[in-house]
Amino acid sequence: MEGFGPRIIFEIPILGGIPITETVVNMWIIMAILVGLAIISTKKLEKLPKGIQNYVEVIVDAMNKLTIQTMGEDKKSFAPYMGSLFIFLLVANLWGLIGLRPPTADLNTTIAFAMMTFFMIHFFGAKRKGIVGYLKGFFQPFILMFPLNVMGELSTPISLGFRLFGNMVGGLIIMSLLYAGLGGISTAIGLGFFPIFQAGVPFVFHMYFDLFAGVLQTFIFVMLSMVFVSIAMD
Amino acid sequence: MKKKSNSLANLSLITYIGVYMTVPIIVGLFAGQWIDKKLNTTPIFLFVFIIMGVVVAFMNLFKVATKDMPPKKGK
Repeated sequence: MEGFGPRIIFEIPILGGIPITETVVNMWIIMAILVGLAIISTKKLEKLPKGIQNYVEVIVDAMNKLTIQTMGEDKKSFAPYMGSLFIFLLVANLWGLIGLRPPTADLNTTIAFAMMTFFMIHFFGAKRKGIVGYLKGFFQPFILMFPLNVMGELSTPISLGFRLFGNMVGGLIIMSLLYAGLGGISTAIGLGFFPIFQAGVPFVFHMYFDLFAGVLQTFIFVMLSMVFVSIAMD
Repeated sequence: MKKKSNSLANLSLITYIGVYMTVPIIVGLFAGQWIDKKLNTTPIFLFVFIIMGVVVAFMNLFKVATKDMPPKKGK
């Protein structure tokens, strides 16, 4: 049995071959879907929403409200970024439901998103407090704390990235093992040509590992991004 | 600026505490091991960084726990 890492689909033959993995391809598909939906739903905007515009307005409203509630009225401008992050991560985490590998089950994806949060924390923290005030924060409460403060700040993106990755890849591994095991049971009772147990039984596990954990982790990731950015700015 | 505490944000922070506490220690472990290998000083930096990691883990917890408290004036 091969490992659980993302398979390499093909290689771009420049710079000695850039491997394109399953993660990247799935991400391209998700991006295409989301960009397409965004274009279709905003093509004919009307004062009285009709059809798909209704749904999109509900999502945008909810994101605006959540951002204001969590970060405060003065940081309303973060809503578009947080909303995009939320929608992308939601689709990516639920990608396992259609039998493909979720892009978030790859450390590269989750660490990239965590790094974006990390740079936002520090950029907007420095912008709000001024460079001097921001740098002074590293020497609080006294000057010897500097290495500890730096280490503490660096641990934020790592823990953010690893928790999302861990949850998603854990679900993925359990689901793969479950499917393999159910196939084995089917073969053992002489139904190898028609693995009947693989239909139905994994449903409960999909509900928990993909739907429940996926939605929850998306929400937590976005919430924590908001909380950390607003802590850095206050 | 008055900031009201938000139950959803706090719930997310609670689920995050476990990871937030272990990561600095593990980072300290690997950083210490790496520096020791480079400088041939096993196990001095390993211990130093693990202890730093434990302190940082505690600091992180403290920061999360006192997030909504008003800042104290002076020391």
